[in-house]
Amino acid sequence: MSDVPFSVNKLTFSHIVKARVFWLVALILLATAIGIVVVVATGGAVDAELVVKQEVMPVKVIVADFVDSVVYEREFSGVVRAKRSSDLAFERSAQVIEINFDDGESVSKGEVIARLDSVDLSNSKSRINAEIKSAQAVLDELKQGPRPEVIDAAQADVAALKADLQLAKNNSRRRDGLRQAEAISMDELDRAEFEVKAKDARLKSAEAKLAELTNGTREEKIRAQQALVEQLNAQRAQVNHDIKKSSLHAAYTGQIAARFVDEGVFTTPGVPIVRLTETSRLEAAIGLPPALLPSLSRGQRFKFQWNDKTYWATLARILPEIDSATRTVPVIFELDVSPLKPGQIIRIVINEERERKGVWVPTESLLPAAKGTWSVFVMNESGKVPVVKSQSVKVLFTEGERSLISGTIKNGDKIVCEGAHRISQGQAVEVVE
Amino acid sequence: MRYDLFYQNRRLLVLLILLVVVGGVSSYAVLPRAEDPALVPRAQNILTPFPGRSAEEVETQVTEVIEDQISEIEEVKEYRSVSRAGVSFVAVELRDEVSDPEKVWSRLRDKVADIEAELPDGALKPQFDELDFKANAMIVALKWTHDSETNYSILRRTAEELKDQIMAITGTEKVDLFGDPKEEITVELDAAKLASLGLTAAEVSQTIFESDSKSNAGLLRGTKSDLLIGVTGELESVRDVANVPIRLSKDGAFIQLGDVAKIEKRFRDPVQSIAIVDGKDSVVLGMLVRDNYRIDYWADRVESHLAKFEKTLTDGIEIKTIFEQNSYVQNRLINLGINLLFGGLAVIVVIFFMMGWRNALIVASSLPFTALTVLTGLNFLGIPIHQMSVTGLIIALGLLIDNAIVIVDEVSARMKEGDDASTAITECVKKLAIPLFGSTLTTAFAFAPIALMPGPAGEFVGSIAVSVILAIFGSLILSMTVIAAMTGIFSPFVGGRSNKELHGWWVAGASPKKLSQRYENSLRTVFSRPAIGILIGVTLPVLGFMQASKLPEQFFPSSERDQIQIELDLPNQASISHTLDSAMAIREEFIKHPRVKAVDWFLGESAPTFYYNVIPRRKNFSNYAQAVVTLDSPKDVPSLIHELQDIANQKFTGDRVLVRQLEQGPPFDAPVEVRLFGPNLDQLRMIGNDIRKVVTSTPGVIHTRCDLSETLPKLDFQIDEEKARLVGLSNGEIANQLAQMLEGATGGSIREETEELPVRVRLGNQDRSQLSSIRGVEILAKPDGETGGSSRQLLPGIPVSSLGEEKLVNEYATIVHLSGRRMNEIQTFIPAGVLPNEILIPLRKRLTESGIENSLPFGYQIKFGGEAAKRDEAVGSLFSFVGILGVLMMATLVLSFGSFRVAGIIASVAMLSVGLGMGALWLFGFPFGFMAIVGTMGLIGVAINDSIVVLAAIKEDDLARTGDPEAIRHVVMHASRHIVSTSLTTMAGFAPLILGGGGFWPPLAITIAGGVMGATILALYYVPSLYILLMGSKREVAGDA
Repeated sequence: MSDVPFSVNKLTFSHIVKARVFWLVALILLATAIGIVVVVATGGAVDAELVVKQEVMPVKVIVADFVDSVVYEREFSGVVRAKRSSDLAFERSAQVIEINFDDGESVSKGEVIARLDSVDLSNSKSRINAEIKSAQAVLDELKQGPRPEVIDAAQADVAALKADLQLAKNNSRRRDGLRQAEAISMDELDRAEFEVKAKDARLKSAEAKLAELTNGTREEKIRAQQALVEQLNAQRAQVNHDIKKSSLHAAYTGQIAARFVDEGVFTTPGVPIVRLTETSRLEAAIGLPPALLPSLSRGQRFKFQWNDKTYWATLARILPEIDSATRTVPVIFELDVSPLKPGQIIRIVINEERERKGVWVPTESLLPAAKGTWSVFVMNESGKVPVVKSQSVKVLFTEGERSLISGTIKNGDKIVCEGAHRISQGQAVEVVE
Repeated sequence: MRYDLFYQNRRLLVLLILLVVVGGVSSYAVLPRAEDPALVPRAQNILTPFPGRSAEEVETQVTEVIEDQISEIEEVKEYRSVSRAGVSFVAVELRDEVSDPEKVWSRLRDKVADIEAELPDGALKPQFDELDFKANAMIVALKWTHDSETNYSILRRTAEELKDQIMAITGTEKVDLFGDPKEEITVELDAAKLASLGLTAAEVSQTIFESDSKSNAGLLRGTKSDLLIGVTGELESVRDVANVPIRLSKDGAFIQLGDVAKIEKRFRDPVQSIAIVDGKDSVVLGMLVRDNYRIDYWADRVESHLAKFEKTLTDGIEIKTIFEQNSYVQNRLINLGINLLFGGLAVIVVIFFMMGWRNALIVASSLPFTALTVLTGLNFLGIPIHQMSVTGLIIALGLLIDNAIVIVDEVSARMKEGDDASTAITECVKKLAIPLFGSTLTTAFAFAPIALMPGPAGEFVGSIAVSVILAIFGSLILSMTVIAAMTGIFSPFVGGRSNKELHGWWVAGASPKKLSQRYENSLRTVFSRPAIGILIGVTLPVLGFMQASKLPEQFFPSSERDQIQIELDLPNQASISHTLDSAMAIREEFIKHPRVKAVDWFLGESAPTFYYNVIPRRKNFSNYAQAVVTLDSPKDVPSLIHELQDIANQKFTGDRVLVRQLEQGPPFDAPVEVRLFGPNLDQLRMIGNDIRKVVTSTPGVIHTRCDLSETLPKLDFQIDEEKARLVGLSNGEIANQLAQMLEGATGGSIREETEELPVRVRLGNQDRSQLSSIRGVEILAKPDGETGGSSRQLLPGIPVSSLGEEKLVNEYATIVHLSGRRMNEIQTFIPAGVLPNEILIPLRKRLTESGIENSLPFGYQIKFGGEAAKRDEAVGSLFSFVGILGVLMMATLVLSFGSFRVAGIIASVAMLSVGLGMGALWLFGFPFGFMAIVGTMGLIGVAINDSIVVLAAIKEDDLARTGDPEAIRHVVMHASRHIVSTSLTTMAGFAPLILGGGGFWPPLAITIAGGVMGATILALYYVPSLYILLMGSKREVAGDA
């Protein structure tokens, strides 16, 4: 089969032209093709210039600087309370008629806070006053002795009675005579005799009285009466006291923390009426571990926070016994003036200095080592290229973000302080600032 | 069978053409678009929280229990677990062959539910979470731009609203929120106050829980209906929580919770995830589109919606679209479209030269027709338009032309000879049907392994092969019908045209005389001494094989996106706010660079999937953050990455900052991974450290990440037993009280609209942020309430510091298992643009030299992962079917040629063409990789085709069949034009891909286009020579012909 359209027979001018055109176009195509090849060959997919090199990891270091001690900071909580706080009550049963202060009001020392109903007491007082007067009068009188008029009266009584007796005697003789004449009964005779006796006795009595009066009052009686007067005085004093006890006074300056009772209530002894709190002086009892005590002393000042502000307190007293429930020793702190209230809970910061020799490093620079121990990376600049070496350390103390370590580290060692999780033992590093 | 049916019946022809066009165009309209193929999700996560426990406890009590269940399921390929403080995390991957994962998942769920009872108290219910190997279609951020402090409440509500609206748009599959802080009700107590009440946090929490009676209290079963009985008293608001009565232990008096605690609704503190976009606090929405939905329609709808939504936003909130896949899809498709177009044009130009303009147009028409047919086929098979299916089409360009060229050439030749169209067509089709079918089939077999690859790799690249196979079969059918008919109709050799016209080269094709003369001479020389021919043919392939070992290997090409990512790792104990500081500082530094346009951070967890193989693996990692960095252009990314990495290394020495490129291929964590397996954690750590030392001393290694070398420092309170006993507490009770006070105990919840907010009882922040405060936390002695004679002055609690001393201990932060074995993985990161193999090979050498491998204790083993492992996997699955297909191919050849010898010749051609491909790669300086393998397969197909054409022609000719050199020379001369045309068209078809540059297309294109030049020589010189040789021996045996 012939496949050559360019017939060998006819080679005309047009053929040559067409041939030339053909070759021209073919040449252009060829050039393009070569161009493509060149472009592609030089712009190969893989960047041959990318020389793979040893990478060096930039790190930040800190210089090991040994310290001798650390401050162990702890917080302890306790409840704030007033230095003094009393529930005031009356000592007697009565109706409360006056309470002058309400919850929260301030009271000065000595002010009357409340009063009981004391009308009955006043009445008693009046009665007793009268009784005293009467008794006193009697006493005076006793001391004075009987009055002359009275003696005269007694004498007159005697005289009268003497006359009576004489009469009776006369009567009796007469009657005697009559009996002998059996003009009257025995009975009548007896009567007359007895009358004589009676009147005689009366005369004697009156004479005794007269004698008593003229002698004056006996000592015992005066003393008795004096005693009575004293007794009545004492009663009066008692009533006065009771009256005084019908008002409640503030024992010290403070605030009424609570009012338990209102007017009109019938109260009995011991029932609290108000609670008085000495709010100007506040304390807090905080339980501290016994181990801490040696570093504490009376008068030491401590800081505490409340509502994001700092206040101060002074260590006042340390109690002698350990609280059984919490195994701590209660320590009383006196708080400086602050807006705190009793019942609030505060936290005191206590710093304890402990002797520890070590280096502070950020906790994130610590890496785990065998069997639960720790390690850090330390710069080893002895070779050509600085590398890191893993050093075993022990963590003595931690403060969360930073920890105190000791181990095979020396003062001045450069420790990798961050990004330790990126690097491995023996890796080439460079220090950056 | 009338072979010239379509020629005779013009209407039928038009109908067929119309069918093709309509089918194709409508398919194009309907086919979904995506950037990458969707993969069948074969992975799930099982997350089991175990709050307050160390990693080791989580490992033994939770993870191992779950792993036992997983190991019983045969369909599981691999499972990887991470045990961390407070949480167990198991990622399960199924075998590639599993086509219906749902069944396996439900079995797994059942098994895990069965063992739930065996899990310890305190462990919460395991949660299952499907891992999507799908990139978000759009990622949108709501930024807080107001000067005042970020109001997350408003941001969150706005984000939820937007989420609801987007979910309502058709096509949206899922919307996830990121940087979304969880709300909860916090009950803040003062530690000492709590103690003064004689209560623990747990007791308060329990009381709240008991007040919250959401549950029903039974049913009233009446005769007609059942009524639910409820005890009212549900917690419905913050006020209700405040009103919960707390019983005082001693004298039974009641006080209300609100009197002793501060109750607020606020965000969980510390937050677990933060999103920072453009340096502003944000809540980010990641949106996924349904698989078979047109992403461009969806994107348009969403964008217009967002524009409307933006108007309703309050001052202080701004919307920003961080990422939208659609523009990349459009870009890529447009690019590919351009490539297609230029490829087509190039092909046409070449044909023009070879066959004249009329034939060229006819042949050219097969391009769009075939393309439309392919689209219809894709629609039928349910394959969307994405970079893989379009890649297949481009590869097919050069291949599908061949069928058309051959048919057109044959028909034209016959017509030139004088046959009328009908006869020409009939004869041609009859003659060429089998050989063409055979060659199409063998090419299909050559690509079939890719289509048949199992697993995600196959799902990803399979559509390349499907497109190619559709294209070549489509072109086969079209050539035999439409093209043949059109040739007959439009041929310039229809009788009546002047001879002069016929002889213009632009009409009939060029074949310059001198060249063909020289060529014919060469053939004569070679065929008289066939050994030379064989030698010529074999030289290039052998050279290629020799250079193959020197080829650098980059199995998975880098992607061509204008994005890179940053991964940030702080030490394990870093808080999220610390991570935030670092992230912001990095952003400030990077944004100074003129090429960096945006840096958007996601802290506490992985970023939403913005690239199909960057899979979110981390959740609840307070020390981790990931950033999506948008650049000005996708060019020169590796050098930019080097710059940024250097800056990061210098300035941020406290963090591990990894600036990484996006790469194609299956997901892997690090390019090079050294995996150490063994039973004992301490030993693993020690040996791992030794390995790490070797790794870091290897040139090219920028960063390493080794989980077991890192630690979680823990403050251990070592309780004095005596003291504890005296106050009646056990270590456990102390620990519990402390934990509950610091982290909080949850009890009860408040229902708000559709959410349940947990109620958490804990200490105020000032109590738990300072170590000195924590030391002072009061532990309640004898929490049952019977305190023995505490002095009335003191609080009934004991400060923790009095109960014991504190000590810093290190704990394993993360314990990793791979398929049940403890593993210490040393992940190695290298500079961008450096091929992982370049580092892996020297690393392995050093490792062997160091002697670590030899001195491993019994039970310990080293394996390698990373890109290399994935590569092995991919190659393995690629070649899983090669054997069978090879045999099938041979069978086809044997059957169509009826001769083992001929089949053997072709088999040798196939093998040699592999060498050609390698040679082409080496010549142009491209690495060997996955695309090169695909290219090689294509090359095999092309080379075989050419050889088949020659052999078929030889067999046709009676004389040539016997091995007569003269006859063979004639045959070969005649066939040359086909072969040269097809080779040139193939090269032209791939030219635009090569010119386009980058790392993705060139290896493929070069392998085929470069290799095809050698394949042409093979076909023209080697095959006939070999045939002569083989036939010659036969002739000798048979005596003289």
